[in-house]
Amino acid sequence: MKKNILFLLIVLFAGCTKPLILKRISFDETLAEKNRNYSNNYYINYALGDSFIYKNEISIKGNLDISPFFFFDSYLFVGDLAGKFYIIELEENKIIGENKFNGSINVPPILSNYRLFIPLNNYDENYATLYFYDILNNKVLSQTNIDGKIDYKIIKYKENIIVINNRGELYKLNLAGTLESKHKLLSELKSEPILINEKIYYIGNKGELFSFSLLENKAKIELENMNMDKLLSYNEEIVVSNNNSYSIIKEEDISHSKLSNISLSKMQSGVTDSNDLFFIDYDGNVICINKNNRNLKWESNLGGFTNIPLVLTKDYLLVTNSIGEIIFVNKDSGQVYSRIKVEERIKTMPQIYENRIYFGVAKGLIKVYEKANNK
Amino acid sequence: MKKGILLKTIIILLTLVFSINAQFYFFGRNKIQYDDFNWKVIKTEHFDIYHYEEFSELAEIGAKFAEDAYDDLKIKFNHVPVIRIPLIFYNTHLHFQQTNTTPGFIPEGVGGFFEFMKGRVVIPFLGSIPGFQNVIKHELVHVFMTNKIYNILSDHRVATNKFPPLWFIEGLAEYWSSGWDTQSEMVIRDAILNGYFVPYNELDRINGTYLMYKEGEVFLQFISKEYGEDKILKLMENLWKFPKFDQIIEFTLNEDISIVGKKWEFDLKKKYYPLYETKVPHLVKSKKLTEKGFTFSPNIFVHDNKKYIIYIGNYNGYTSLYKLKINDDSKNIEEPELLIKGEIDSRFESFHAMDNSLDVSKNGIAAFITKSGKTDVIHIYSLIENKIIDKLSFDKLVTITSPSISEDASKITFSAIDRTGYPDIYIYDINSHILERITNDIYEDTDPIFRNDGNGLIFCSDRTAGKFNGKMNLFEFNSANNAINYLTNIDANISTPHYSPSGGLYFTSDYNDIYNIWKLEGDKLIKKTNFITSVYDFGFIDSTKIVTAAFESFTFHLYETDLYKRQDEEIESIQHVSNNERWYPRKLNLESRYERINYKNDYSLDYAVSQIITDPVYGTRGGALFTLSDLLGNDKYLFYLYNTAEVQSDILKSFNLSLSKINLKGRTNYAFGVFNYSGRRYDIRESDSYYYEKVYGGFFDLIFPISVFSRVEMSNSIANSDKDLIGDIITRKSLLVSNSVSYVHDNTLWGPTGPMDGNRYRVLLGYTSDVRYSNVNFYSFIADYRHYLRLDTRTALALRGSVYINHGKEARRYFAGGSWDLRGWPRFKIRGEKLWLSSLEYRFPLIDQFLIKFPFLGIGFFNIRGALYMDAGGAWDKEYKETIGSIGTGIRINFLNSIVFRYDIGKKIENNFNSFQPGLFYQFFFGVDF
Repeated sequence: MKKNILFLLIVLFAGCTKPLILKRISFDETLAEKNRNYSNNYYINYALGDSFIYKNEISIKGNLDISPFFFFDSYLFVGDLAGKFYIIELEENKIIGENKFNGSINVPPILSNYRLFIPLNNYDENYATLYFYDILNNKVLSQTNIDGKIDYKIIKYKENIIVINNRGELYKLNLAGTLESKHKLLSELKSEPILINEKIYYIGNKGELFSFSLLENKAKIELENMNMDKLLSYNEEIVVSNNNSYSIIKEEDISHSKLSNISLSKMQSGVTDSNDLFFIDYDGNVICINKNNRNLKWESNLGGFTNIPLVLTKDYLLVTNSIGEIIFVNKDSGQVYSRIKVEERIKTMPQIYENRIYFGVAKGLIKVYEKANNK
Repeated sequence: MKKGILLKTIIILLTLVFSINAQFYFFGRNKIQYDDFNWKVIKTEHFDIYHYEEFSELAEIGAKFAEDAYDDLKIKFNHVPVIRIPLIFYNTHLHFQQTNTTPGFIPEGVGGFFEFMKGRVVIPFLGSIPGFQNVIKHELVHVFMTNKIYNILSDHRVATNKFPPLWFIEGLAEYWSSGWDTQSEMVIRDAILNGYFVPYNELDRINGTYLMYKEGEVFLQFISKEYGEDKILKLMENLWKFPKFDQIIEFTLNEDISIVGKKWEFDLKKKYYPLYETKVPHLVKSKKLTEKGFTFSPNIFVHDNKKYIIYIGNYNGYTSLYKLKINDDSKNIEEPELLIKGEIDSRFESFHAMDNSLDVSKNGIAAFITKSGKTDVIHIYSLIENKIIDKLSFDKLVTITSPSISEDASKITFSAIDRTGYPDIYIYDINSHILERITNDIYEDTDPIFRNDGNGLIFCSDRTAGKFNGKMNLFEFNSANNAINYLTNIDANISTPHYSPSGGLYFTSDYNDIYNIWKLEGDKLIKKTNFITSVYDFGFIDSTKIVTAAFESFTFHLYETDLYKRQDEEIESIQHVSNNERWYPRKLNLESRYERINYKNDYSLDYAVSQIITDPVYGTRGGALFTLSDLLGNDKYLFYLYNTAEVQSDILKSFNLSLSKINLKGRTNYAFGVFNYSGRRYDIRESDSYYYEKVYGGFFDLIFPISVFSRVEMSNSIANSDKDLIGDIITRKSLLVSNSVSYVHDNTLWGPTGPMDGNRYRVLLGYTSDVRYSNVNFYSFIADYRHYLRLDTRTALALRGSVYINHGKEARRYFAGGSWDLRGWPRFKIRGEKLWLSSLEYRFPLIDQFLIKFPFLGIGFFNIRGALYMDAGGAWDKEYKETIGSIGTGIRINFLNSIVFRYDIGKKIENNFNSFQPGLFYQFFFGVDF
């Protein structure tokens, strides 16, 4: 009897635990950097080509925030809103490591040389914690408490990890996980921050454009009285926008910004490539603007409620709506090419990696679609 | 639910019993389904709109409002519900009160609700299209918030029953649905200036009150102004993060909650205290004429050179008609005389106190409105003869407001809503009995009075078009050419117009402020009072002196005041010429006939409960209960399954199950079903013994409400009963047919722990017979009378006298004892085929508020009541045994308005009331007072 209970306990504990260990990974920092996006601009330099077909789904039993994925090599690193962190092997679509924290993970981790920086919003605490995790040995090397919440993506800049909290404070840590400095920004953030060269840009509470120099550790107001809501960048180009106007600004010439008019009921997000600028509002109205002449190229009403940012590839604009659809829109004509339809509420942006589209849906599922001709 | 056992509950409970010997039966008022609605459904993009046929146009307008609100709220919440939302519309509050979507009675002040079980939004149209729009949006805020919070909590795998406090829920619904209106301004202004504003840390104290709604709303306004509008959504998004809402506020605003609360209070005081520079309280400027309760609709009546105020008042919980003598010489407040006691019988079922619902003519005729049965009626009362002389009811008119009698008392004009839902103006000729409809359109037309030149009417209407679109202005109807013209066109609302004795036209208006009294003079409007809180209505004592019904210190009272002799404020009466413009609300375009369909019963699960328990004495047992109902709540199915086996071999013969159908659609409610009950039963006949009984059969129950206060109940059942006494080798078989008829009456008014006023009684006659074996054959008679005599507002004397008789072969026994009847005596101790009980109890307030503050938390108890009582009773089979009873005192605590705890101390009386038992008894139990 005792033996049976012991066996049962061993099975139970073994079944619940999958250490965060990655022995087989071959780490290349440049590849890791390539997969990071600090521009708020979800343009992927990749042609989707033919339509996508359902491949499979990964059940992590936890729901995800809007942009939670980090891909590296053949692995997906993701944390859910209930504080569980997973490493998923993509070939087998199998969870190979997981760890439960007491809180919520809202933004993707940073992987740096076999070390993971995992940002956790703690339950019942006034601070968040940045865990510095060794995935070779499955142990927390250090942890740094951050006041408030970490709702904005964490940034790797040279030999530093940059964390900005919801209270408008910037934390600078080194790659060993040690806090180097903390800086009060000039405002809480209204937009996700972006990194261009050595500066972090963001929209402040009253719609101003601010910057923070990571070299000089100095904050600066770049543009006042703009009343902007959204911010994205493409190479060294900054785009600020609100419901009625937008401006494309060169980093070297920020003060000479020129406003152009648009008309959207309530802007949700924007995306841009070298030629065009796309905006969408919450009602599914999409507009495409030629960046060179600022003329409207096409507009389309796709209906539904959209609160997930646009994704752009070389050939399609991907629009995700509340009724469980990802709509593939021809980026040049605005025509709907095809749709992926699922039964559940889509929780995340679709993310494209190695000929596949990944997105999280309700009930803790990550759906995987593959290129139809991907043989 | 607390203030009466509802008809629906009665029916459900009746399905669980089959014998007329049921020990427990109930009183309670009746929720009556007077109307047979022909329900239709409009399918819009996000809603299923349920409405009945005559209400089609307003339902389409409501559908458009709902879709517009949806578009706005999805952005505010950054979220959409993925399910279709059922919206159920009623065209008046009286129809709304008939809804079966909630089991409870709906008070007059409820303008709609969202219920969680099926996610239904139920809304009445109250006459105002902008008001309808606000209520739809208010309820949809609840739908979005509930859905959003559920998603946030389940995403974070936190228990999904966690919700913000009610002040936040309702405050947000107010804040995100309607703009800040005059009434909101009046209440918050009054609360700050009169010292009853409840600070943040005590908001629980006013849970569920109108003040809580408004304080919640201003708190969120303050957060938006001080910390940013985005913080309101963040409060919801951070709900998973902390167990307490105070912590969530502190975290989200990054400020200590006590500082936030103090800043809020300071912000409001800074805004309202300077008003004392220019405005006056009623109490300072006027003579207060009433002191207790609430008083409305003052009208002056002069008889034998004495002046009286005729008004509607509520001094004791029942709204009634009163008369008060005006005594210019005395500074004392006169005692009012009760003319008509309302809300105790079906003639005056309920007064609409907050509406303008009374007028008095110079020759002593009063016209007042009450609900009576399915519609409102106008009662004509002679103040000279002190009696009702006529009752005017109109089949097609559902609700009636603002009656006004012509100079010669030959005509009455009023505003009324028919089944289409639109409030229009009517004139009724008392002599010819002809009803004439004056307006017939979508606008809210109210407060008509006859013009003093006899050429038509003056009334208030939101038909104002153009610059001040939708504002309630003053209009005149010219009877010579049937034209309607603007008398005023200002950016404000106007109500209750009256002529002064010298012919001036006065009214109340919220121009630039809360409601004060204004006068129309030529093309000018002149402000005649400058009170800091609103005047609701008024009547003229003479040309310069008036009686107002005014709001101050969170209550309504009558004040005598002088009109300003000087011109305080003067504006143009027509500030915009609208050139006969009209406004029309947008409707939803029904693109095809398939979008409006007939309603068919759409059933879904209400709740399912199952339980398996293991007990060291009784072993393992389990059961389940499921109920299904249609979307409108008219038709219900109840399935009950339970097993009481104590050993495995008894499982098959210990199943208890019943299947019942309950129909509440029509006025007559009925239920029928089948049952099988089997298992060991405690024998009421013989102490401490059990027997096995298997009973199966069917039942049919029927309830016909005569009025809100009384009903007839019929119950019929046929059941096969096989009963084994343990140790006996013979089974007593019987096929029992049981029939009973009861008459039930209840007009009681309840306090925190039980009835305080009115009376209730039940008389039951029944017969139970074994039609196959003749083993059982007895008749039943029950008479139970309870009377509650209010001694003052909060104390009462309660009396109960009841007799229970079962007589015949194998007549079942009644039993008594315990906290609910014969206090101090053990339950089941007193048993017999015949039983009588009587009680006398004095109920009084003991402690209103009892707070215990620990260093780490505080607990508050409210409404603790005391009782002094005496019970007496006796039970017997063939020969009377003895009279026993008890005497003592106790306390009752209403805990969170959901359960009443009782603790009694007393002495038992025995030996035919000749001696006390030694020692005291102590009894703790729960349940409301008898």
